[in-house]
Amino acid sequence: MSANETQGGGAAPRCLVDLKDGQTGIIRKNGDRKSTEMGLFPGARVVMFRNRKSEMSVVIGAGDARFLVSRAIAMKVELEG
Amino acid sequence: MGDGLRVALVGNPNTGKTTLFNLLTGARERTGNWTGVTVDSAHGVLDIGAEQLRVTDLPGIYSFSPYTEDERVARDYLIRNKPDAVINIVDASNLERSLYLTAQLLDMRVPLVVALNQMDVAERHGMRVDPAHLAQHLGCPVVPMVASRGEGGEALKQEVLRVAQARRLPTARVLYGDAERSVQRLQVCLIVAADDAGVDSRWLAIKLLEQDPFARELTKGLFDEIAAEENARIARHTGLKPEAAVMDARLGFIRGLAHDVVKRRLEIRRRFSDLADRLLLSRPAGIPAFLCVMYGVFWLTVRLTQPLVDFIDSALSALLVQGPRVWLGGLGVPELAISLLADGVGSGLTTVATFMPPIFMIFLCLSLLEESGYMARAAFIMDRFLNKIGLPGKAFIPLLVGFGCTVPALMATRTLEQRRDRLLTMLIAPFMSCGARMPVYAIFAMAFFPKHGNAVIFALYLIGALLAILSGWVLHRTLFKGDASAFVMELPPYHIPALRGCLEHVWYNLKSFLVRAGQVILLIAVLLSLGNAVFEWASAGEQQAAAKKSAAGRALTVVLRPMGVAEDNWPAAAGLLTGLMAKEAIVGTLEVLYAHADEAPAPDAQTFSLGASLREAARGLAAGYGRAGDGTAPGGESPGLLASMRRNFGGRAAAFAYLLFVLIYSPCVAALIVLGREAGWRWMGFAVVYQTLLAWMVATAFYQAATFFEAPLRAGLWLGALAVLAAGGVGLLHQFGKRGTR
Repeated sequence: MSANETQGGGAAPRCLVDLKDGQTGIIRKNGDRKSTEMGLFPGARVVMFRNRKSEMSVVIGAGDARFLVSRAIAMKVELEG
Repeated sequence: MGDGLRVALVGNPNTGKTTLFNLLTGARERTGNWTGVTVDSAHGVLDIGAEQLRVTDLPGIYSFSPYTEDERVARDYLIRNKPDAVINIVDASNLERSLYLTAQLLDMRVPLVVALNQMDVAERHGMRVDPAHLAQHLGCPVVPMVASRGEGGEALKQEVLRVAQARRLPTARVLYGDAERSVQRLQVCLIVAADDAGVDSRWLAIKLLEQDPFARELTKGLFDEIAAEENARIARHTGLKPEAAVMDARLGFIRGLAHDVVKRRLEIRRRFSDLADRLLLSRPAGIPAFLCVMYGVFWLTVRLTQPLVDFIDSALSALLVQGPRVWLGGLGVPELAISLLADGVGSGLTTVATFMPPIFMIFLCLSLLEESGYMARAAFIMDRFLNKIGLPGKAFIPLLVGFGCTVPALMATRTLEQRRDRLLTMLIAPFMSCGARMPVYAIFAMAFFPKHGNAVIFALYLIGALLAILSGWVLHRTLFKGDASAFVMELPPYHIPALRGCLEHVWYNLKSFLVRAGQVILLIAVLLSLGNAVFEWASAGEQQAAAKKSAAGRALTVVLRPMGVAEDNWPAAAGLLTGLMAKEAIVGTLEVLYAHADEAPAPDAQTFSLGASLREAARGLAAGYGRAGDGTAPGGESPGLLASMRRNFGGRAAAFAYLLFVLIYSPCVAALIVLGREAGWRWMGFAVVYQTLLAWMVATAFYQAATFFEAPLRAGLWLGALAVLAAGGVGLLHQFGKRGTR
């Protein structure tokens, strides 16, 4: 099963931190320079692997890479609607 | 060779950069499976026919923006050293991300060769990358490779030689869209300044528009006004900050390039690592798994190696200390020479050899954790805990490395972006008990806690980690106020560690550790023996020598008495001083000084038998492993050192207080030099004072509490005084914090 098959309906997430486990999105804008340079740039498709409110970071996939992203940064990564 | 061609290797972390370096140079640099393995540059030689090229492996970075020390190291190297060719290793399976750095290299106008690595992984993931097309777009050679299998190595060497000999620059340039006119206008103004600074004028213009502090430093602020005008113009036209406009244009270039040269499936495939992470990053399974891994590391390092340490100690003591003493005595060699050879060189070599098993094991464990990819996951598990002391989760990696050796731990902080995070991590990393302290714990455990040695050693490790957290908490609330900085860290896929690579890495570390520490220990052992012999000779008579030693001892131990070091136990104080050179030297110092101080009966030809001693050591080894799992530290009644230690420390309370002091006090000289270089000499001074004072307070508090019922009034007064001192210390730190001493 590819991850994007799990993309659910409902209101479109607005930023990375809004994605639930298994959901995918395409980055529209990234307000964090470092993560942009590491590959989370506009147009990149991302999938959420782990997002728990109690944890300080989320785990995402972008292309073949996996990233640990602080929630503060994940909130700066806007997704296409 | 100094005049030969020079090549630099640049690329993202986890793209096989170090593997490629090893392939090109035949070196045995360590490879790793987490970001930041190469935190410093490594050098090697590349032979191509008759040509010898000097290759420098720069730290793995994502960009040349100066966020971290490793990015600065890589950028400064390229600008200052101007290599004849730059190999940019690009991950074919993550092309867009890798091309960000490539685009910046195009801006820098360096002679470029692109090594398009991991073509096999890209293919496996349903991607087809066209190297010829990419070369056409970039205007420089692109060599498809699978570095791990050596494929493409020869073709790369030939391209590198061609580019280096001609210093051939790439023909492509990144055009900066709405910012392009500003780039060009600024470039014209900067031609002379760029020439003076030895950099490309277009690169300097782009960097000034991005408000890069290094570019402003190169132009001495002379062009700030013009850059500000152009920035205002860009902002008016695009509605974006200039650095964002530049970045957008760069990303546009990359997207266009990737669109042209890559054919792929669109979905993100789940891998085994993703499934494993569901379990290992979850709270119910992740934390127990993490604790099991940590205990496993401890068990392998301490429990598994201890019988071997005892065996080496007993066997080499017989072979290098007791034996030579008897044999040389029989030959009528003067006492001074015997003392130097047996008590100095022999004891020193024995001490060095006993470090080998635990140090080997701790480095092996760290290597396995790193290679397997688990280390990055441990950073996630620790994220929430470290956040409480104002550190990001990835600060855990340097702390974990600290269990091996403090020096690489301090170097590993280079991957942290914020200086505040780096400083705080560097100040608490020495609390993670390094492998060098292990022999000290082991010998004390054998002498004082034969039944619960493992528990005592584990407690020391735990106390070190708790003090790191406590210190982090105090410093976070005083000198380093502020929240943990947000971070992004790549999670490498899980790998089955390549045993050969791990063992090579361990051997490299073990060798350098033994050479570095061995020299210090041997030197100290010989000097102490020599000093002792000269002292006795100059004192004209043993009684006079003993009186002088006692007086010197009183002076040495005066500050250590509240923590249980008696005035005649001056070798313990001397051990702490030599321990500043290298912590392992403490055991060697005690061994040499107790041998002299206690006038232990020297073995003679009648009582000493090498064969019997070695058989006894072998029996101890068999018994040690036979008893594995019963939690008992083996060793039995060895050597006089254990008896001397028991006699001199008088009891367990003083011995454990001494171990606490060894655990906490100032890092060794090698670590202090690195700390001074990385954090600044002021912070190095702070670390020495803070740790030594804390060590004294904790050791004294423990000793006084443990002996409370022997002298309640004295202990009560000491504990009260320590509480006042601790409160005063925190208050002082708070005041410094307020005054912004940072």
